[in-house]
Amino acid sequence: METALNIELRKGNPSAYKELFVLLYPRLKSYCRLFIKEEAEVEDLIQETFIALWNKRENVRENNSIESLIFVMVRNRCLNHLKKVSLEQHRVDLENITINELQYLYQLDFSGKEEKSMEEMLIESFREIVGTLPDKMKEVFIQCKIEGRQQKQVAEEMGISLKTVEKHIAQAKYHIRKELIMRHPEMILVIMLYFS
Amino acid sequence: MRSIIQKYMEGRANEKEQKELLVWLRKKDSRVDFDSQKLDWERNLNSQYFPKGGEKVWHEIQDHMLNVSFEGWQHSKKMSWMLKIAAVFLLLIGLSTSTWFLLRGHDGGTMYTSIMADKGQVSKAVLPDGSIIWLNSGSEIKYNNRFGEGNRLVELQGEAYFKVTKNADLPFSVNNSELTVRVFGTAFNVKAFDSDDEIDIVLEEGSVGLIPLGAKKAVYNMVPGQHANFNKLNKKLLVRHVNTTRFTSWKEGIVNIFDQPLFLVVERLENRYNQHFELEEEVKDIHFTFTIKNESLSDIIKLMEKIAPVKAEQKENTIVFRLDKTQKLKLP
Repeated sequence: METALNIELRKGNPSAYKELFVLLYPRLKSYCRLFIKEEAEVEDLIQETFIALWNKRENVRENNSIESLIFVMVRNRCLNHLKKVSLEQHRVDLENITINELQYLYQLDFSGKEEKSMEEMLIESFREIVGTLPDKMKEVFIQCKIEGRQQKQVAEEMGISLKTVEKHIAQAKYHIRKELIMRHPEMILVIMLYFS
Repeated sequence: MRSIIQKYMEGRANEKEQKELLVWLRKKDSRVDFDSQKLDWERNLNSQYFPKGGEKVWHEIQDHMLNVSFEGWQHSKKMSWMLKIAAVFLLLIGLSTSTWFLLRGHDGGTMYTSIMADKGQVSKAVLPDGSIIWLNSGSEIKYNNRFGEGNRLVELQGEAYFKVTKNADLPFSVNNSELTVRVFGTAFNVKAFDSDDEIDIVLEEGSVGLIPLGAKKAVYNMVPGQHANFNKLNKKLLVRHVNTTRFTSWKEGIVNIFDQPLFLVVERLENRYNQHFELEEEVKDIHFTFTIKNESLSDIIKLMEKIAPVKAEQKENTIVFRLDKTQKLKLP
């Protein structure tokens, strides 16, 4: 049954997309709302996912689960959204993020197994990207944005001006944002398709 | 568990229910059960079911698919034109007679493109000249391969809203067997179902001329805000001023019913929801006024039962409206 649907999705048949949408929209929406509170944001994200699936429909394989594929696409988009949002926050407290337990229900449903949580992925990718920053910039960013210390205090301790601290933070943000865009979710998608 | 799974699939399970489901699903033996109940849910879905609040998102996805398909189609059309021209040039070098034959062959063959909106759906499309059309449920437009170059002629069966790109040299015409609407860059709505005895035109912007079958030029030029009603049987034309959004809001997914008898109301409902209705004689002329946005058909029927003494009953694939006698007695 799913194979037949996959073939139609691959062909680009709009009614196959409608069927998929009708079946998955409520669950995908509930999943996203575990992480994103703004309704409009969630709707945009799901819309974007379906359009991406349609644009890249040649990647849909007959025998791969379409549910787990679209779940990965939605999950990655949620993750990217969270990265962007947390970058704008006054402080990204990586130590004290609580894991939303309900997400495992959706993981079990869509992928058949419990995987890494969204929060863990967020922390990991943040650590990874912050790790690629130049030393001084990294230190300033960790002290101010992750540990949440006062910019003025950090400047005094490091023997640099407040202006320099501000500049470092702005550049770090710019760098991280660029990295986020580079690590486009579609890359992960293609790899998943070939190895799952 | 069954009812929780159903709620979960429809996005209605609350936090406590989701937690309960997670605990259950984590048990080794639950998976098979869960999958089969999911399948049951899918199989038993009413064909009218649509996830609550998902209409806007779906319409935007659909819009994207339609627009991209159309651009792709236009692109392939341009490509085939270029290939044809290239072929003509190649033949000119060698065989002039064959070239003449090919060109003539091209002029002789008229190909038609048609765009349809299935029942229950509204389609939006961009025509080769850049004009945008919204096709209402169960409607179709057709145009030939010279559209945008030699003519701007579309044939309409059903209802469509047009936003026409300005081009004074090439008037845009909407043809129906009885009446032609001629346009010069404008936004208007035409309703001309073959099964109806009337054709309705509503003009929002610009100007249009109405040309009945057999006439050489326009018998009437409409101004914005006007509604023209042409009767196919007695060829009478009625023109009046209206609030145009009442007639054009269907393209936003809104259906306005304003003081209409039930037999006309169910026609609109049939188109909108792809559901067949039957009426008992006594209820045919009961008038209704209401607006449909994203409501489900069952909500609409409940509303109709509240505002008038009618009762709806499902009989296999048909919904039958009959007089609600218990309510009628209460009325003066």
